[in-house]
Amino acid sequence: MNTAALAFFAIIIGTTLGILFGFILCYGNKYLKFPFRLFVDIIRGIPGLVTIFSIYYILGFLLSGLGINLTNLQSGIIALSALSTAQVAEITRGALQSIPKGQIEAGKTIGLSFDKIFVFILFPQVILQIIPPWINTATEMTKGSTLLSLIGVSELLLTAHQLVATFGSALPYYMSVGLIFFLINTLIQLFGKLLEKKSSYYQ
Amino acid sequence: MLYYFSFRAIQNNIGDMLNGLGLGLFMGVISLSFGIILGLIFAFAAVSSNRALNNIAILYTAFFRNTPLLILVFITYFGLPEVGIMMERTISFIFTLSLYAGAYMTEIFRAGLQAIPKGIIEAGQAIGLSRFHICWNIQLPIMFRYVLPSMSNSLISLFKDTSLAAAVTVPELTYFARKLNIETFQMLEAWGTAAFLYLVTCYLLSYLLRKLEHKLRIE
Repeated sequence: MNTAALAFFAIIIGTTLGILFGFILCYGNKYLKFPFRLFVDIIRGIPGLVTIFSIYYILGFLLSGLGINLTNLQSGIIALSALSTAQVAEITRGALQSIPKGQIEAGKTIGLSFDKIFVFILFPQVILQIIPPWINTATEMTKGSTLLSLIGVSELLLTAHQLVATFGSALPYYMSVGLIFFLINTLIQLFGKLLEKKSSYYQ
Repeated sequence: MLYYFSFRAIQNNIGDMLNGLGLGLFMGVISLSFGIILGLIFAFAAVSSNRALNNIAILYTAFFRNTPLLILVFITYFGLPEVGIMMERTISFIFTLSLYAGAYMTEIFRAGLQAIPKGIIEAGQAIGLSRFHICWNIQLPIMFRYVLPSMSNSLISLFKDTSLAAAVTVPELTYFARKLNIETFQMLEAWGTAAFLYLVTCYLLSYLLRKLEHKLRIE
């Protein structure tokens, strides 16, 4: 059950933060963009496993100095959220940049202020463009939750690992876990296709 | 909270880490080559008019893309020996990653093949080219130039997936970083160096691939 909660929270946090970051990356000025650009590029440039280990060890150490002891689960959620934030930020940035500038200018000529422009013009188009890659990110986060078994978060794969150690027969446990993940991710993909169909009705 | 940053730790272990990076690149190149070959085979199967081949390709792609790589690695390394197929760690990881990469490549190549205008293929048939020649001389070059951007993306992210080999104790960069971390508690050095090496390698790879794209661009 932890797997589901993990992936779910990571996706939610990652998506909200990611859209925010992506927005900043597209429209911010040079100095505002810099830390976010650094964050996104570093996290996307190193393997997910390295991110997870780094956040677990380094952040855990830093915070334990301040007295906050992070459990494995919390570092895991932070790491997965960071990963999904970086992904969604890139997706959002790409989607925002692909909207013709003319739309923003048209909004300004009607006299809309920037936040109104965003809500009425940009947002609906951006949401449609984001859905396919976002479903991909959701799938990757679910797969990423298995990596957390390597830092001891008690999720599906780790439980299977422990069962294997107890019962000594590896294949059925791993295969069933594999099938479970396959089913979950296939459901997510089908959900994505459903979203795409419903949204393209308005095109 | 005392933390002594020491370059000593990096100095002593940089050789191991670079060896690990080399192994990662080696595994990556081999797996990706097999992955591309598998991708081509299944992509043609996916766009062929044979329903059975279509379904096989779709099943392969869906299974290997939706299942986490870590589970696949565990199944191959821990599970397969029970049915008699025993492989050494590195080889089992390369095997798994090739199958995984093949699924991603199939998706990319399939999209590329479907984007080729039918008229070109019909023109080839009109001249009288055989199936093989149409495939080799017309479809592949066009598809390759078309898919190069998304293929580069996939190649880089599949290279990063080689870090999962550390989970089955293949002496890879991530494995050495973790070893250094656990043994000496020098976290910043260990993970900082690993991150730096990965970043530099990925940047170089994407730079090289972009140059390739530029060279092959149709002017």
